[in-house]
Amino acid sequence: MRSLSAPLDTSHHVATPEGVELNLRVAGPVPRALAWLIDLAWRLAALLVLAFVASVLGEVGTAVFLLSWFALEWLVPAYFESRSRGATPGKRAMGLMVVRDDGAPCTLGPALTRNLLRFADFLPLFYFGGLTAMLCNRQFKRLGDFVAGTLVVYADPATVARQIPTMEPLRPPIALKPEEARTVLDFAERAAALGPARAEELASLVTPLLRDNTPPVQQLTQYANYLVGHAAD
Amino acid sequence: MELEKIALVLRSRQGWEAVDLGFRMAMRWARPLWSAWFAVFLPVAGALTLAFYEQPIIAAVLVWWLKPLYDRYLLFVLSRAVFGATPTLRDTLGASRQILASGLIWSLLTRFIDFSRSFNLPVVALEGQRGPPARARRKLLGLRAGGFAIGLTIVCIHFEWVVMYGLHGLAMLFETDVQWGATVADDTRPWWDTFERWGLIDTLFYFVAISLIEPFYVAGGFALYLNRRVMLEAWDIELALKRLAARYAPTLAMLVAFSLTWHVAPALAQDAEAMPETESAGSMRLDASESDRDKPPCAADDECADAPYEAVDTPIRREAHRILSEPDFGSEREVTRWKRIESDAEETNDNDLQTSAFIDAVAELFRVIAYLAIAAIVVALLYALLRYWLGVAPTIVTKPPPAMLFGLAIDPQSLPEDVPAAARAMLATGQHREAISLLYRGALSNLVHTRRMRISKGATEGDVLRLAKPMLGEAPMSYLTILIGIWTQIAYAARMPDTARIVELCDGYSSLMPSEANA
Repeated sequence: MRSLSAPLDTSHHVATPEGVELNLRVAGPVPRALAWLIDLAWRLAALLVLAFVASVLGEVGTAVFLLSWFALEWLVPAYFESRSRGATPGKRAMGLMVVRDDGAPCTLGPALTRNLLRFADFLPLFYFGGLTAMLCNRQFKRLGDFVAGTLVVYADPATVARQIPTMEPLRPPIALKPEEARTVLDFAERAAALGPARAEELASLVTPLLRDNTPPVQQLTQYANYLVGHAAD
Repeated sequence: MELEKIALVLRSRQGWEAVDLGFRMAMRWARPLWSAWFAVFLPVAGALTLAFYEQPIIAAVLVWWLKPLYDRYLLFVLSRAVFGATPTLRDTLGASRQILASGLIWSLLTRFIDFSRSFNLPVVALEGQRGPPARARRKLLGLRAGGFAIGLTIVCIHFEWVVMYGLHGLAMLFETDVQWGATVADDTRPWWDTFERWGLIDTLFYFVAISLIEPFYVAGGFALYLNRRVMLEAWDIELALKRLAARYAPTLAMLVAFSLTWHVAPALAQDAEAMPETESAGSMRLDASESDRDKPPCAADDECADAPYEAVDTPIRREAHRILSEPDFGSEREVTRWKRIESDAEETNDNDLQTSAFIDAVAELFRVIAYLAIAAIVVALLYALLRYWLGVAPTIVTKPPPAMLFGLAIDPQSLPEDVPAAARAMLATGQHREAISLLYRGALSNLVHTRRMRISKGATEGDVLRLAKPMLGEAPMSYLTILIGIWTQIAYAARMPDTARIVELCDGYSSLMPSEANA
C-alpha cells in the first residue's frame, strides 16, 4: 500500500513472482467513456446492416436479428477483450486495453464476466452505477471490473527511438543511475524545444557535473551521446 | 512555486492520462475540495432556488451560469494542494478576495462560448493574464492539449446528464409517485418541452450532478494545464536534474579532493557506484558478497566439511531463509465459502414418497456393489485354488538394482577391483576429480548393489544420505556424508578440495566400508 505522502500518479504497480515490477497506467472514466461511445457507434452500424439483411429473411430474420443483437451486445466485446490486444475496437482507438489485476492478459472468463456485468453498471440508467463506482476507487474500476478482477490500462505505445542531436560523445564524470541517465537523455531530446534560455537554465542545475570550457547544454548533450552508445573518444 | 514540493509524479503524459491524473487529484484531496465546493455552492444554490421557487429551471440555469465562481475556489484548493500546502476551509474562504478578483467577470461573460473552460481557467485565475497576452498564452498551451480540453468538457457535460438520469432512474425504481415535482415517469408532455417539464426535483438532481462532477472537471482541466507546462518548461527534467546534482555533490567533492581527473574514473567503480541506493549501504553489500566469494559455504576447511552438507550455515543460506519467510512466499488467507446447511428432519416428512424412492435407489446401488464384491472374491478364490492344484507359481519379478545413478555407472562390473587403490593412482596422475568420482561411484555401488539399498532414479544426493542412514553405522555414515558433501561441491560448484583431503578420503574408504572389502 502506498502511503498518502507518496507523489500522486495514476499508475498501478504489480510485483510479479519473478521480481519484476510492472507499472500499469490505469485509464480513467473520460477516455473509457469515449471508447464506449466508439464501440456503441460500430455496434449500431452493425445492427443496422443486420436489420437490412434480416428484413429480407422474414420471420426467421427476426430470430436471426435478435440472436445476433444479443451476441453483439454481450459476447462480441468479450471476444475482442480476450484476444491478444485485449481491447474492443473503441478501446483500441483510444489506446486502451483490458488486463487482469496482476497484469496478465485478460482471458475469456473475466472478459465475459465484465461484459455481462455491464448490465449492473448500467443501473439505474445510463451507466450511473458504473460511473459512480469509477469515481470512487483509485483504479477507476467499474462494478464489472471488480467482479472480474480486471483493469483498463493504457496499452504501451510503440517505442520510438530517441532523437538526440549527434555530437562527440563524452563520458559523464560520475556513474549515473538508470533514471538519471534517462533524465540526461530526456534533456538532450527536448532541449531544442525548450528554447535556449530555459535549456541553459536547466543544464546549469548540474554545474558540479560540468567542466568549465564547454557550454552546459552542449556538454549534457555530449553525455547523452555517450549514454546512447557512441564510443568515447 | 517550489517545484520540489510538488505532490505529483512528474512525467510526460498524453492528454487523457493527464485528465486521469486530475481525477485522481480530486479523489486524493476530496475532503478540502468538496468542503470548499459546498461552502460556496450551497448558499448560492439555496438562495437562487428559494428566489425562483416557482420557476425552478431559472434557478438551475443561474447556478449553471455561476459555475466559474465555484470553480475558482476548487482551483484555489487544488493549486495549493498540488504543491504540498493543502488549505483548510478557513484559508480558502479567507482568500475569497484574491480568488474573486482574478477575472471572474470575464469568465462569466465568456463561459457560453468557452469549450475548454477548466483548462483555460488557470491561465486567467492563477497566472492573472488578461486580453491579448492571455490569448497568446492560451494558444501556446492549447497547441497539444486543446482537443483534450474540449473533449473533457463535452464528456463531463454528459457525465452530469448521466448522474441526472441515473437519479431519475433511482427515483423511479424506489417510488413511482414523486409528488414534489414533475418526473419523467408520470408526465405526458413531449420530452423536448424541457422548460415546462422541468420541476423542482430536476433542479435538485442537477445540483447533485454538478456537485459530483464539477470538482472532477476542474481537476481534470487543471491537470491538463499542469501537464502542458511540465512538457513546455520541462519541470520533470528540472526536478530530476536538481536531485542528480544534490545526490552527487558529496561524491564530487571527494573526487576533487583526491584530484582525480574526470577521464580516469575507473570503469569498475562506476558500475559499482551506480547500483546501490546509498554509498554506505552499497559498500556494505559489496563487502558481504566479496566475503562470500572468498569463503565458499562448504570447502576444504575442516569444521565445514565435517558437518552434514545440508546444515551448513552461510550468509547466503541465511539470506535465502529470510527471503523465504517473507509474506510473498506462502501466506495465510481467509476463504469464505457457502456451505450447505443440512435440511431439517421436519422437511423430509412432507415428501415421504420421494424419500422412500431415494432409499430404494441407494439400496439398489449397494446390492450391485455387493454382487460385484462377491464375484471378485470368487474369482480370487478360484485363482488361489488353481495355483495350489496346478503348482503354478506366479513369477515375481524382482527389479535388478540400477546400473546407473546420477548419470554415473555404479554396477560392480564397471568398477575396478580395488577402488581406493585405483583412486590413488588417478590422484597420482593429477586426475583429482576422477578420483573422487570413482570413490563416490564405489560408495554408491556398495550401497545399491551390495547392501541392496532401494533407490529411485530421480533421487538426489540428499536422498542417498537419508536412505543410507538406517543401514549404515555411525562411522560409515559420517564418511559417506563427507564424501557426498565434497562430491556435491565438485559437481555443482566446481570447488576442488586439496590433495591431502582426497588422500584422506581414499584411506577412509576401505576402513569405513567393511562390507565392500568382503564383497
